[in-house]
Amino acid sequence: MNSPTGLGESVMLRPRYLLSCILAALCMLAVSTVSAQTNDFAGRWVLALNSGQNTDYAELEILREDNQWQLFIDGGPVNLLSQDENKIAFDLDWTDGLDRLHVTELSGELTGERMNGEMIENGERAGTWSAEPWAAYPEVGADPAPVDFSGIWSSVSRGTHKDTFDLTSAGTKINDAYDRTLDDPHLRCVSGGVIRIEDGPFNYEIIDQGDYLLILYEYFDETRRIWVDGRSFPEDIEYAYLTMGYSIGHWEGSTLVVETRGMKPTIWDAAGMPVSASGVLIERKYLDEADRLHTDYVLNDPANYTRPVYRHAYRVQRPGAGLEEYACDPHTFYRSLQLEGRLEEYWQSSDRF
Amino acid sequence: MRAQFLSLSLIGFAAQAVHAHHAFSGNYDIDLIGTVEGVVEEVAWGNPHVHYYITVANEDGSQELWDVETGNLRFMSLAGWTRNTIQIGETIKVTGPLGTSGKHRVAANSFEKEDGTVLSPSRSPDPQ
Repeated sequence: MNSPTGLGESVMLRPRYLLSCILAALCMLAVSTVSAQTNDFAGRWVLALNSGQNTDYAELEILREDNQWQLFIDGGPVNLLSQDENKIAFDLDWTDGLDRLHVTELSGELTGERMNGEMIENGERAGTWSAEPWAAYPEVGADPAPVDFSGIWSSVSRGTHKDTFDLTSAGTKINDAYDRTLDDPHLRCVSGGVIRIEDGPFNYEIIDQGDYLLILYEYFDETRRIWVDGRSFPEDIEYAYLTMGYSIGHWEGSTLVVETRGMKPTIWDAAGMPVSASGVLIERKYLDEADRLHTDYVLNDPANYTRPVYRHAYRVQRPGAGLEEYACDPHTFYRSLQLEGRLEEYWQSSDRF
Repeated sequence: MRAQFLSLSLIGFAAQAVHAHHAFSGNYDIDLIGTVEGVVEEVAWGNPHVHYYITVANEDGSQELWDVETGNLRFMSLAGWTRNTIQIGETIKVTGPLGTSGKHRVAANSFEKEDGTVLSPSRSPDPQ
């Protein structure tokens, strides 16, 4: 797997990380009289966006090579708007639940080892943000200490929903050919696959079956098994083309690390971001001190992306929460195409994700 | 025709070159808010989104079928809607972004019944 993200650990402030924070704070005090230098921005950060309702988390990476800046949020490029001494401004393109594109400007300053600032959208204040250095997972390689994830979990934060990513030529070809009104499998009630189902706004239930965790998703009535019995992937898994993939998990401390392979080539969001059959999804699932279930997602799919794609989401258990029948009916998709005289276009040209 | 274009408002999205395709840019013009009045012909109470198909009478006497889209079942239910909230045969006014390129469809922000009751459907927090 890739190097650990550390995202959630910084979020939840586990005891060992708290110790690190205290040590870091002491170090910050020691150097507090020294103003931030340009290169202090370079590195990986845990980005927290607070809109006033929820806090969403993301990975921010700032690279500086040959006096040129490159910024990435959740693995996708963003624009550096300005940088002057300890001040920085950059933007974030993201889509909301109605698929509307937003561009939010994040401006702030670096103090010690922490960035703080404001979010501005369309000239108006949209909240605050902060960034802390990306911490290594304290539990990497730790002895297994499984915890109970059983229960029905409701979505609270689905991350930033970063809009654009650096696609390879193969990924660009898929995305360019994608017609949202014809090719989105969800329109015709075909599940979009494990990433999209995990990322959905619907409840899911985790049931511990001993050798595997069974997850029942309301979204598309999907099911998934995460095997924790020490098995290996089947041979030729990359040809399995499984809607929900084949998932194997192991515990590192109280974090469940899940690797999923064998996903069918599809798109993992409505904007047509592709995933290939050789893509590998790494999830790290853990509870924070408030019993919120966090998941860090890392999609490693070099066939489609020049960099790994990240996302961080978290869920809670709410009293009375349940799973409803999804009851998807493709009638409306074909009915609407028929009304618009596009049925023949669909039969002739649509990609069948 | 009885489609009334109430307002044209620029929402003010920042321009940015993107390699992404969006539902609203594909099917709806988010800047073109209009109201359509018609008689409910069909109720499609299901996922991924609930739709109503309504017959709209044009000024020349002809009729056209319009597609009215709302949210998914879970969030429609949470908003208090049931299969019977809007029924076949009712006359309704629907306001929301209209379809692109003259498509006869509207993404409903609100419904008004004949007795003046105004209903707000859920617009699902999922891009399907």
